Amino acid sequence: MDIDGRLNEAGHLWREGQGPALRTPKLVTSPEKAPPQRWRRGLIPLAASLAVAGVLIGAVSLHGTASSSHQVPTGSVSTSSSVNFPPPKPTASTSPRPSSTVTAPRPSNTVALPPTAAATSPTRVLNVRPVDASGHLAVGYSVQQVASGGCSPGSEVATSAYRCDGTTNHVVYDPCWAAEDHLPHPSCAWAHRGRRLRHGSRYPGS
Amino acid sequence: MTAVAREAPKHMSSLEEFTAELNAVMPVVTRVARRFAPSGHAEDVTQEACLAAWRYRDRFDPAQGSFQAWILKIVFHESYKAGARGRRNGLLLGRLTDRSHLSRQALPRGWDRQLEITVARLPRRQREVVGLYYFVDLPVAQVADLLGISSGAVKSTLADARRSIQAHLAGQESS
Repeated sequence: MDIDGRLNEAGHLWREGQGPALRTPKLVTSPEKAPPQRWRRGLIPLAASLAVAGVLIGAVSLHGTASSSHQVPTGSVSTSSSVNFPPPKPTASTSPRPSSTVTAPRPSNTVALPPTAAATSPTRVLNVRPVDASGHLAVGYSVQQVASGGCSPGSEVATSAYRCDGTTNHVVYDPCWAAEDHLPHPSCAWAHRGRRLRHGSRYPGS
Repeated sequence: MTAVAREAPKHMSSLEEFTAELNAVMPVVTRVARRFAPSGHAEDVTQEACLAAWRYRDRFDPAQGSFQAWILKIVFHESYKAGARGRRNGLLLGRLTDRSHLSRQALPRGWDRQLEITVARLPRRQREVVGLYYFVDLPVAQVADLLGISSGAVKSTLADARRSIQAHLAGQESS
């Protein structure tokens, strides 16, 4: 066989051995998809700004409501709620000790505005976190007086909080939060200044 | 030589029309990619070529040649680009750019190994002409169009290649 014949046969065998042709690739035109992505990316800073503004407005309104509608004695300690609070456990007894009165405000994780405000605007939900995840008082909160009392699980006004009472003055403290840096003392407050209870043992849930 | 140049598409404005034209020439596109792309890269080269063809479809001029000739030029170019990339990356694969058909995966039954090796050792132009004419099965006119040379140059290159192959094989058989 001459070279031309060998090349023809080799070419034929090569084509036979190649199998089926490749499939036509799917062509996707991307320019039409780009604008929506850019539009979505532009929403991120806007959403972040709105979130920051919402937090600031909530903090301002919370502080104003608390200082005007609740009688918190001067020198008391305020703490507020923590979402990641330890679950409540059975109450421990406390040593009776007089303490100054604390009007338990109606604070908690969820706060309803006064009727006048509520009538004109929808209820606003405010989150209060006086104790951080490690159990320390959050920045801006302080303890100014210490009272004696006992606590039981289940606050009337806040989830993951306690309801306590002063053993001598029969004052109800609600809500109260566990402050790990002052065991076994829970902190009860609504405003940024409040009271800390002397507790006989570790408070429920700790 | 049974391949026939297709008529140039009248309209390729939509993706559907373009894909239809592409489907018609995919068998020969596949053969060129498998013959000239680095071993194992034929599919990637085909995909790159099809994307490039879609991107620059407005440059296609039916007056200058068929759609098949146009897309084959792109595939041919992409094949060499893939080989150059391999060489730049220092891959052995890149050094085998022009010998992809020697890959064990593509070996047909009754494969003439001696002939293939001899073809692979030809000068680049002769190797391209032999590959397109005998293996891809393109007519002389399309080979000439694809390589940008005249039909006479293709024929003379084929003759030179056959002489070289014959001389090489004869030398091997005598030794």
